Amino acid sequence: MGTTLIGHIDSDCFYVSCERVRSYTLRGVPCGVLGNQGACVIAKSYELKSYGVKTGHPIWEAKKLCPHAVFVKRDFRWYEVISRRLLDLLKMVSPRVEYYSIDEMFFDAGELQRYFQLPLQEATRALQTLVQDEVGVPVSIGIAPSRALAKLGSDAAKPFGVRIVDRENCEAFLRSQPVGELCGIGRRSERKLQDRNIHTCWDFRQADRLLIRDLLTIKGEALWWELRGDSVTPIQTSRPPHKAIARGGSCGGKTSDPERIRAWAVRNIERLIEALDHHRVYARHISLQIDANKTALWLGRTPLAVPSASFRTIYDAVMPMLAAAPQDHLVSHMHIIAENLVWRDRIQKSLFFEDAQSPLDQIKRNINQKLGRFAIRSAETLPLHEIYHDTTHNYDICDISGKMCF
Amino acid sequence: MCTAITLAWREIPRKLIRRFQLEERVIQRSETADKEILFLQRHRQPLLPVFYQGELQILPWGNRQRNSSAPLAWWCDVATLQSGAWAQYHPEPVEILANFGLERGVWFLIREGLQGVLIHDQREQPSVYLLLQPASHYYQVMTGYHREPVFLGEQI
Repeated sequence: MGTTLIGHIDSDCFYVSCERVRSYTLRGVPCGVLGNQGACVIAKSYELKSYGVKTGHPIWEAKKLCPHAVFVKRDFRWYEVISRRLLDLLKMVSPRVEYYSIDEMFFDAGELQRYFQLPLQEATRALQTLVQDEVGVPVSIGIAPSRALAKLGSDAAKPFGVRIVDRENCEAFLRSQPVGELCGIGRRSERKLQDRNIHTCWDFRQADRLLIRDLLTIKGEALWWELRGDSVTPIQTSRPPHKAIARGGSCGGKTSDPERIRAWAVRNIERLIEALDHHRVYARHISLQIDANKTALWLGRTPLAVPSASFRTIYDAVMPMLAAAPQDHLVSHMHIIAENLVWRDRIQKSLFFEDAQSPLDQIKRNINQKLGRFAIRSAETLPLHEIYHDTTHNYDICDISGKMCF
Repeated sequence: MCTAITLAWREIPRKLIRRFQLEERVIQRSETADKEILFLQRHRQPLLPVFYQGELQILPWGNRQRNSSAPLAWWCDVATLQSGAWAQYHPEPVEILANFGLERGVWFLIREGLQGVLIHDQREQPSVYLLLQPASHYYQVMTGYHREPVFLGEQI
């Protein structure tokens, strides 16, 4: 089912806006959300940005640039609550919505005018006001015949703006946008295009299609079509199944202590099983990746006898790989990856192997869902005492299901 | 060591603002932000907004008068309180109202307030002490300090 109008809704400084929903006193205040255990700024308000603070700045640098800024601890669970409120509201207004990322959504804007009983520009403003009133976060909205144009429109309208890209204003708008602003054009691609005298999005649109295909492959050509108003990528209302699911990350500093490395492996296995449970899939292969300073040091892969999400089975697959890994480097990061996934309701049960999940796995899941993550955990994770003695000291990542990209 | 807190101007009754001349302590972080009253430990008359006996009161922050029987301090460690070392002063628990706190140049959000203790000296003059505890890993990374206030209803 195609649509003639695609909308892109993008929240302005989303994490900060979410914090402002529940803390009125943060409104208008230069505010930064801290990640990485409180060490660096992962999101900032426009007020803080005006002092030159950028995402990724360490806290000691940010406080120097803006001494009266207020810093807040990140809370991904709260941001997911707000994100889902935005998604639910958008689903009321539009027949089809794509949950693109935690703060961005594409939607079918074909019925926007009918819903609000207003012309398109006013209807879009009405949607923006509705989101502000009901969800509490400011958003920018772009409406256009294709995704690429809609996204370009909302990006250009920030903060708290609305832009309708139609046939009449398209040329002037695309002339005003550097080609690097296009989603999917990275620095290397931008340089390639500039070498061919393609500087603006209008230049890109006017360029020869085959030249664009030569330079940027089929993805570049898709963008070329989208800039001409031909919608190539449809709105996806549900996420395609995962090819792989990985859990892991930092080991809390470099370590060569085998007990701590094992403890991290077990914690990551528990997180992985949690994710497999959520997505209702089993794994047929388990991989272990060990990094030293974010450089892959070792990668092992083990096929499972039957598709599984059992702690025992995955543990038995991971531990020999861990034992076989080189011991002469300090480990900084580790990932455990479930691959070759299969839906739980589409597997043949086996008479000869362990069930895909044991009763113990199910009890553990039920208790943890009720009492909180890691309320019941393997005793092998106990060497990570700093995590279990101090609830603020964790290494969890933002696990939000259903969205298309991070 | 949490050397300042602020509370939104709108949360303090006008009569208290006038009585304690809090207009002099008003700050505003940007043109669109709410006005806040700054309670700084380095003020000539250090004060704290405290919820005590069912109402908001502005009370002296700690004690620096040697002729008072209250402890010469601004803060009190939870461990000290639990050891009974302050039992002779008959400390009472109080809630310190605050929106933001300052630690080593970092302003941080306070969602509900801070825990404090109130002590009356021999002349029945009150002093409020901020309760401190060992800092969480997060707080320590954020501020670089190893002790943090006792937060009400949260752990940052």
